[in-house]
Amino acid sequence: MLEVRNVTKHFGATVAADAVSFTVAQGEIVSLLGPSGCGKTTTLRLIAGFERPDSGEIRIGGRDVTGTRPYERNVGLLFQHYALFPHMTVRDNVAYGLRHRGWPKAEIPDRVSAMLGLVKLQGLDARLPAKLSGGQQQRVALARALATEPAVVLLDEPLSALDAKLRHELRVEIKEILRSVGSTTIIVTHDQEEAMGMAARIIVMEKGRIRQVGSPDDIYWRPGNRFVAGFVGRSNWFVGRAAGAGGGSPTLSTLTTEDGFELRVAAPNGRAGAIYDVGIRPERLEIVSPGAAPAADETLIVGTVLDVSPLGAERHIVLRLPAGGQLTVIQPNRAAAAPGTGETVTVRARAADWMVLPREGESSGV
Amino acid sequence: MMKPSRSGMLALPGAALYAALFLLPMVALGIESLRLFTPGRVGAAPDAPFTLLNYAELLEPGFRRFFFTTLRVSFVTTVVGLAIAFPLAYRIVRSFSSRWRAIAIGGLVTFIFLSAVVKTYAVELSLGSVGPVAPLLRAVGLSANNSTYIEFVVGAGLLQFIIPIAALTLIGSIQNLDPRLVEAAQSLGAPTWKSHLSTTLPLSVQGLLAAFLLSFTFAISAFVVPMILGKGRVQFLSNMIYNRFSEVANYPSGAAISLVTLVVCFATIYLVTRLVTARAQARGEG
Repeated sequence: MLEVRNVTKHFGATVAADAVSFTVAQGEIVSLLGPSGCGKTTTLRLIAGFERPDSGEIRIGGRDVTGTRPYERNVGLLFQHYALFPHMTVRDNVAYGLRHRGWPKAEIPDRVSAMLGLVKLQGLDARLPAKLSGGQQQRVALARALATEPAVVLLDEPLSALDAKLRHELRVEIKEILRSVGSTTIIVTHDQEEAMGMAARIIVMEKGRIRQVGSPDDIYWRPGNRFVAGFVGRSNWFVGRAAGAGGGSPTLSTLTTEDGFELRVAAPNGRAGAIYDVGIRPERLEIVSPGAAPAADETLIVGTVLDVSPLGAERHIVLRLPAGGQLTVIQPNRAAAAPGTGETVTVRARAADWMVLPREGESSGV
Repeated sequence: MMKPSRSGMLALPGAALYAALFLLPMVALGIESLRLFTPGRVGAAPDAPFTLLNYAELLEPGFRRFFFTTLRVSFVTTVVGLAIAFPLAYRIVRSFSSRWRAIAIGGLVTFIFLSAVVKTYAVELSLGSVGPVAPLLRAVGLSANNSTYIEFVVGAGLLQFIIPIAALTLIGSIQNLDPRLVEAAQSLGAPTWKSHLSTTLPLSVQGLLAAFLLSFTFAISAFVVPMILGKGRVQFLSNMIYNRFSEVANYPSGAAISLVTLVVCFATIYLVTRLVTARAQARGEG
């Protein structure tokens, strides 16, 4: 449905989009995820037609739209701050696109009612946007964007202007609406929860480039590089040197960290001496009883409890390692008593849970 | 007995000054406008009888013409000025870098404070009978002394003032507009001009109203521009007032014209404001 082919866009000396290529299938929900300045908003504006690429091609439904104006593309947009027309009623806001996209006049009132029904705003059609709550305004904006049956729907940070609780509710609801309508959707966001909660496929961008494309689980559990691993979720990182195919197992190898830990990881082929970034998600670490013996694919790490934060659903435990580093463990906040500050605990990591990435010149502590 | 509040007291000096410097002269003007004038005198005699004659003679075609010329030229010039100032202000706000925006705004302010006489003679030199435009006019068989052309030149002179005043007024109101609204309209299928027509323009109504009133009242009360560029063939009310007071020394008549001008100004402000706010309200409730 949507094809972005090798699109590059410069603003002065900075590259906002650098040879960006991806496709979105009919009815698919995809997210462009990245920190501010990563080029995701530029990509959205290029697809919407507000910017023209320096090179590359954008096709919607097989048609090359690269040089066309925004109003010549059938793209629906949901803006971060809604951008509802403040001088028009809810009804006129939703009808705006229908009028300009040439819907038969007689059908417009029915279509508007149907759209307001879809977003559960029946009866508010005569209100002005200023008289609506933030969540209601967002629904009107969604109804307005979907009314004309756009070939592609672009959502720009759709939930960032709402408070946390409403954000969660609306996320589920927007997803449901998009699915029921069958829209081909791109969600641009810097919020990983928004991306992972709504999209089936995530495109992670950094400095104008696509760094990884994959399902939310791929991105989280199998990050392709240090940037993706660091941007999505938390993790504990070490730098390890491969000791060569180790432990007599073909699927395991041992990486020795700077601090002298020996980590048992499920590495592909640990060339002896090669340096890796090795990370593990805090919720994959498990506190075990002291003195437990590790299995062949396990590593035990001993540390002193520095801090325990009960954050509602989960408990964050920060350990100080003997060599001075820190390790964060996340546990479900269940009945099991939390370790006390200053206590010495043993933590178990399984080989399969380590993310092992070849070292990329730069290093940053996460 | 009510004691005046402290803040009420603070307003007293201002109120007294206003009464002494504005209200009293206006009352004197009002009384003078009701006196019978004897030709040959300077102003009305202190014991001259009261009369409405000074007002009645304004209804004669010779006088009415001044009112119509002033209103017509002012109105057309104001509308043209807004049509130029609005896109200019929009560009300054939306397309200029902050550095160029500051330069543009500084330029407009400077232009307003530039001497009226200088600006007006600049227009006369370029568009008048000795300027580069005159031969072109002669080539198409027009005279630079044609009264329609002179009205045009007076309008051009007024635009020197109206465009910067209106643009500066509009810059403020355009800055408050969400630029995403035009993009939203475009993404919904409206071509750029229609997007502006349905979002930018209606949302700038208050700014346009302010700019219109400032420009229009400036134009109606213009004095130097029509005096220099009008060459006696196109005269505004201010010129006639000056003429009454200075040339003929008919103070009562000059006073009557002044007061009628004031009333016309107030009436215009009232009517235009009513019209625009009523429309805005109808839209809001509709």
